Amino acid sequence: MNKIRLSFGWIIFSFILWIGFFCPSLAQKSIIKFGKVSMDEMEMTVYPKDTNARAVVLADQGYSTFIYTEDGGLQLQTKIERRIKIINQQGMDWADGEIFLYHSGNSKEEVTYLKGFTYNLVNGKIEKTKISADAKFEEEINDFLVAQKFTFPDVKPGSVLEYSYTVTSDYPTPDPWLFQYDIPVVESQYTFEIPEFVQFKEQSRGYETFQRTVDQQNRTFTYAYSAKIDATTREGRTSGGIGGWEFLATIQTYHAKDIPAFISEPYMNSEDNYTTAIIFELMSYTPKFGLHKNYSNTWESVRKTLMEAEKFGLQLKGNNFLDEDAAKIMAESKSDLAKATRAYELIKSRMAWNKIIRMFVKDNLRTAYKDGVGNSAEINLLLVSLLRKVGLDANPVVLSTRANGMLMPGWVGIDQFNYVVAGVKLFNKTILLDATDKNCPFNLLPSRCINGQGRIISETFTDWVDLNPAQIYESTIYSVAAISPEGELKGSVTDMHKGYAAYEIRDGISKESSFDDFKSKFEQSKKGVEISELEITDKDSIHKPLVLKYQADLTGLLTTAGDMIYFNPMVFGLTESNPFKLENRKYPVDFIYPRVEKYIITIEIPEEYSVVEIPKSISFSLPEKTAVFTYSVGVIGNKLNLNCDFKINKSLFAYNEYPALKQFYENMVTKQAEQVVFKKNN
Amino acid sequence: MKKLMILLLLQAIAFSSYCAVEFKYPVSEIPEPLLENADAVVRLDEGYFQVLSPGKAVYKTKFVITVLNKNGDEHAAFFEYYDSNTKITNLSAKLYNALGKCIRTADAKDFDDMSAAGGYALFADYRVKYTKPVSSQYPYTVEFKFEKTIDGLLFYPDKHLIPDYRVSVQESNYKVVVPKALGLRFKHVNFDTVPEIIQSSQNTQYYWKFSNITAIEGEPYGPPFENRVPYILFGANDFEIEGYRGNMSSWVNLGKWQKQLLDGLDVLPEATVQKMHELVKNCANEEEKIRLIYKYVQQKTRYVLISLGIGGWKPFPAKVVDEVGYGDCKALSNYTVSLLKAIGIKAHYATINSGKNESDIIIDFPSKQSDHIIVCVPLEKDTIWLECTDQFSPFGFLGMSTDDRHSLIITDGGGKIVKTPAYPKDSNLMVCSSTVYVDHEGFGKADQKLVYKSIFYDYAQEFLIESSDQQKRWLLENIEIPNFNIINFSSCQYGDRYPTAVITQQIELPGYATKTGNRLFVPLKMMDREVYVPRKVNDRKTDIHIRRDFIRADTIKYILPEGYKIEYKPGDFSVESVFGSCSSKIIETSDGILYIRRSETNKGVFPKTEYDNMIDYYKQIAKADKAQLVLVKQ
Repeated sequence: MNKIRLSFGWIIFSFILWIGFFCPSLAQKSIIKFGKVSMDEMEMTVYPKDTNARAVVLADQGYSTFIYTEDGGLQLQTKIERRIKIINQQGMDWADGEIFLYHSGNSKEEVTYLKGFTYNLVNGKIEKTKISADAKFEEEINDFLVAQKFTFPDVKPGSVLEYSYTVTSDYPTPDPWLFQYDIPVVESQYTFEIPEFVQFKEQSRGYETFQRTVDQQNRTFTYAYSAKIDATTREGRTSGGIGGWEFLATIQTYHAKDIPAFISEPYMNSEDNYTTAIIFELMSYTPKFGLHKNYSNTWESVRKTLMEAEKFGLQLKGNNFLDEDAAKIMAESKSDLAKATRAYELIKSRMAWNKIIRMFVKDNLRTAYKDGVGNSAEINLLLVSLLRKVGLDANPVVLSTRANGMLMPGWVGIDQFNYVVAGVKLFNKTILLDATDKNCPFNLLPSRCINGQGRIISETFTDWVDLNPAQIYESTIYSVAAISPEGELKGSVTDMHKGYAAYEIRDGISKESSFDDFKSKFEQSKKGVEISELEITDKDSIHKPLVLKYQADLTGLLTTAGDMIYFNPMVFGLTESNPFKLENRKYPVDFIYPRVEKYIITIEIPEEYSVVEIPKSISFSLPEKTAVFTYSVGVIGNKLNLNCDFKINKSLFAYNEYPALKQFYENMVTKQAEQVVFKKNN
Repeated sequence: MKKLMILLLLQAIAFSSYCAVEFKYPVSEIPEPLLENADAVVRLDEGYFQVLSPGKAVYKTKFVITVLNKNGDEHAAFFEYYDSNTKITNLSAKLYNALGKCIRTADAKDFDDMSAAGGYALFADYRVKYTKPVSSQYPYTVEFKFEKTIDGLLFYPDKHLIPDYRVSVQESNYKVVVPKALGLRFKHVNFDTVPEIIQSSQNTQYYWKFSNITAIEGEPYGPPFENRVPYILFGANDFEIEGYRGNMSSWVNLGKWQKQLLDGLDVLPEATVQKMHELVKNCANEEEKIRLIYKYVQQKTRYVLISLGIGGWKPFPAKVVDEVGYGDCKALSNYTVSLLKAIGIKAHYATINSGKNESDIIIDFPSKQSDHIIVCVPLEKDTIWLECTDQFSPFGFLGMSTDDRHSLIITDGGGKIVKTPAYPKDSNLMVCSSTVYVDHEGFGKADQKLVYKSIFYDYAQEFLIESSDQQKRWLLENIEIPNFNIINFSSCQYGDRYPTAVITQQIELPGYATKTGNRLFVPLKMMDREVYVPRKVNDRKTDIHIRRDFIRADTIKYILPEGYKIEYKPGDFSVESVFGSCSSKIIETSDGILYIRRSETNKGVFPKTEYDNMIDYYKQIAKADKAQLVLVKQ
């Protein structure tokens, strides 16, 4: 979280006394009358629009406006009023609240006027209980975050809870207003009064709609100031008095009704991408007695701000501690590709990632390099610097990780980014590199980075870069097996994994406490199959495919009965059940990267048996071949050959493609379950 | 109110400053046997604990660990918890490379200082000092040092020698100094050596020294970690916290101290007392009354963890819970005891160590070994136990988190150790009865009834408390049948001390039987087809521990499509071992077949030499469960 604080042009008002700030004359009608809970609300036992709801937000209202005080200068003040109905016991989790308050340096957020009441219906009458002072706690979560926590008294199914508070903030940008929670919302309204001297950009997010209305009003900051002597010249007394500052305010109101509960689904990007919200970003600010200041409202200014930032662009200057490494790489490599690869491998082996995701360095690159430890920005900016020193065209590419959420289209600003990788120009293409993960080969980004687009930032230009996966998930299982006259099915197997498939296995191995543990988990994972002589090739040669070879006893999968032998030739690579179980889906299905899974097996049948039945070969696909399944089987002589391919050719499926995708999986599961029948010749 | 859930990532701090050239703890000095099966080696673990007075103590430590590989990193993470009664000083760390050269140092300001209350507590004053060194090269060594002063000393810290599986210990020593007048109680667990004791005029000093303890590995169905490793439990005789003095040389005395904390907290407003009398006035017996009071508590209150200072030990009074309707386990248990007292039923506040797989407390050594409070109500013929923090739990049901273990109950005469009940095998039931209609294309439809009793009820409760949408989702995600759609479902629950949940559903099973040409292949075991076969372990070290016994039964009637005849039908199956038994058989009926399967799992401790037999036993079951019926067109 990067919070910008406005600095003020009018420091001369050092003795100003606060005499009052204006109360907004509510241009918009309030949707909540605090303390006036209706009988209907009290008597509600289920929420008719969502009978599953455990609790309902009856009304949710926020009002943000700027104030001016002697102590705080210009501050943003937000008043929140919220009314919640508890339907049943599960809904009781909404009876505990917390308000997060950010602080850094001298800037902070403060909560005041926190009050709340529980309303219960007792013998037909509404009884009201206050949140007592003992039920409010302030907890320091870490160096920059405090949580104001509170809990409602006497809450039971049927209770209505109501609370309000005001947050006064030194940071001018309001928090995103969330219209949607994991319980339904009856009505939600947010108003933001924006004085003419501050400009914001806004962006909506999510799948539900809301209305926006705009009004304009004249407003005044009124203040008193006492007599003052110029501190530097010690003369020129200014007399005290009362001052006023008139301005025009734009009053923006966002209003929504009947917002359904947000329910997360499998194969989904971070939840924050889907809940409906309105988000603001500070664009510029013109103080009364100061210079107009722009806050990154063009990509050019974002570029400039970043390149001039001490913890970002300025870190790329100098760095002569890298010269020795650079000279070595130059001497050893002929092509640009070789240089880039060596630089990448050098930073990876030299630097350990402390698992901190950042876009800015903590101290500086020199310290990080000397320590051999760094956050993601330190490691990847070191890589940019080294790539440049070996004569390559390399620049930082800033992005938002999957957990941080997708970038908002049309949104220009630094705040939405939280990560930086290196982009190097090779063969007229920008190759993206992230040196934080030792298991990532050259030109493969960890999945956390695959999230739409990133922005390349250089000394001279800036542009979009697609963060599409440069490689896919590819795995092939190849097996040769035979049924012995005694009815045993045994074979040898080779699994070859490329791209993200290899990455996932290497990552899995490095998460196990020993390679033996990995082996034993691998053996366990093949149900009903006895694995022996497992060998792994190129475990550490991460730029090569990963190959697993083993012997398998598959006898457990055979059904032998008298003269008959029955079995499913999909002894490996079987998709046993459909991962898409829900009937409908509201949000896209996100596979992150395309996948190809291939399975090839040859099974030798004893001479005295002949085929009675085999599955039909078949191939089916989704429109435009976004998913393709091929199953082809045949018997030649006494050998059964099966070739089964499964491809997902795009990463993201829209919600309206869901029914077809679910059906596709269903057909695949059914087909893969089919069996073959052999009979002994008489 | 879940607005802006901010994920608090534990930050790893890079050590900041550099140290003077100093060579210490080179990896070459680690004896070879300590490297075997190890991810990390504790090089030196030096502790000093001095009790100054019944309420005060100081603790000093130096802890050095060599991390051999990536998997050992977690053992070099430093966590030290503290609260308003404790203070951490002189905190520092040094990082050494494999040769023993000091690379970096860190002092107190380089450690993170965070709230440790986490997501589970609304408020608690626990905090934690945290750091995690990062090195790009292995092995590396870290040395941590700190001191702690404790004002308000309740329990002496236990001394654990081995932090985890796959960690060996080169040297560990521990010194405890106590005033002669106070004395010290301790117990060696899983080892036996005599400490060196030195008497001075004022104090007694105890000294333990250990060296070269090799690493151990976890094994499937092994005993809990605590049962395998040496450690020392300590206990005070006399102690004092915030003015409350106590003695814990016996469970009776420790209970007396807790009783003292509870004194006067059971007062209720007269109106509530009257209400309780009114509530139970028509009850036929004591059990009925207790049931109504328990239901009242469940409806009236909710669980909120608030832990502050001595509040960590002292519940807030019953009259506060009565007013606000929430509390933590202490407050809600005390409230329940108070309500029962108001109607003349004696109940006890009971401390217990909760957790499905936790080891039991060591009963011959009175000390703090519990983390939870429940209520024990002794009746003439039996005893009822109440879990007061769960609004959904059936009356008198403990479930797997507190069953079959020792609890310290607080009586007027002091503490008393009592065991909570174990759920007997024949009550731990999971029964699946179904009728499956298979058509000529292999499409199935089924009526299914699932019964979950006692320990299985624990799983089903998470289903029962959900809304109907979520219940449907739970079924789709938890019922292990490949590919099914729910047409409708319903559920009910009955019984309380041995509760039962029943789920009935009507489902569709697309492709239940697979069809190839003229044949249909019908799997017989409908649910949970994959039986867990424990992995091979070479040279097993520990006996086999199975904590709970239970029975699973399946009765599935298959109605088969017309025009097909049975080509192959698996034979009857039966296997028996010390671990239990399993059998299945198929009976042909007029319109199909009946598949009956029953398995029993025995609890107990079985010799490690039986492990290969155990694998073999489960393999046989796994194979039998894969059996299928083959139908061919007539």
